[in-house]
Amino acid sequence: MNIKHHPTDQTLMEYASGSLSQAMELLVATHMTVCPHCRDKVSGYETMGGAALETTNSMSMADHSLDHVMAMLERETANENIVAQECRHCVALRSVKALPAVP
Amino acid sequence: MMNTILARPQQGPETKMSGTTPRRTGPADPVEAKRCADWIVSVAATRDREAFARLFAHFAPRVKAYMFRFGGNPETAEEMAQEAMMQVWRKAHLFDPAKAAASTWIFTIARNLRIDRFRQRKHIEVDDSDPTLIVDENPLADDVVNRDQEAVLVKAAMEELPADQKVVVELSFFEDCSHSEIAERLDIPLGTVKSRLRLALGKLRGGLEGVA
Repeated sequence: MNIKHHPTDQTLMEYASGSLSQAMELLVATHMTVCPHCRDKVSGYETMGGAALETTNSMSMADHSLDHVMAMLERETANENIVAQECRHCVALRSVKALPAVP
Repeated sequence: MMNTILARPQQGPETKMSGTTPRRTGPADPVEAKRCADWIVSVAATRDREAFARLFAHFAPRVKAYMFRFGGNPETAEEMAQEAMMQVWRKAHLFDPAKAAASTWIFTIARNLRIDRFRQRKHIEVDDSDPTLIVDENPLADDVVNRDQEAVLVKAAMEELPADQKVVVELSFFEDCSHSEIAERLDIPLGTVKSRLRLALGKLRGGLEGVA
């Protein structure tokens, strides 16, 4: 496919920084599906976003913030394991139900 | 629109934020940047808590500052920075060091979370697994580019920008400002915003091309 019209650099940068409207974002994303050139430019702007994140002032996290996050992640993992166990349990139950009824 | 701009703190986050730390605490060289990438890979491979703690120490305060600039509320910023770091943990297996540096990847996570939360929608992205995706026939760059090195060069270029250019770049990435909003905020003509941004992007792009 021959693409004649590309979004402007400004639009691509705004896409990467996340300041476009939803409609424009859709337009740009659709264009990028067929245009590796613009995809490349956007990943360049995202790299700039990352660099801006690196060079900007930071803001101290609350005390025990990491502990809090680790605790939440642990809870998540634990829940996943419970779900997995329940699933095995369900399979076991289903296979019991599949047995022919005792006359 | 005018009102929302005026309602923002005029003094900017540098003076408003408590607990700001000096710059240049980030990865200063490719080795450091690579370390960040390795930590993410480690989190994905072995749920490495120590690696995650290091990522958290480095990126969470930066993501918090990012969220603060959009939300203006330290509690929300704290909570969203925590959420962003939890996504780093959950999505670590999706991180591809050949495609992005750690800072780039975490920037996109923060950006998407911000849009999700503040605008209550998803950021529309290209699906890399889309079968209709057209790929470059001669991908000269992709295999050769060292993403960490690239990120380091762009960061160095960012640090060397004159203050008037840097502020325009920061407002573009960090505060959802259109060019005319930046002009109003800094009280300079629109043409000046555009020329400063053009100059700045030229220099930053030099960092991208330096490794291609």
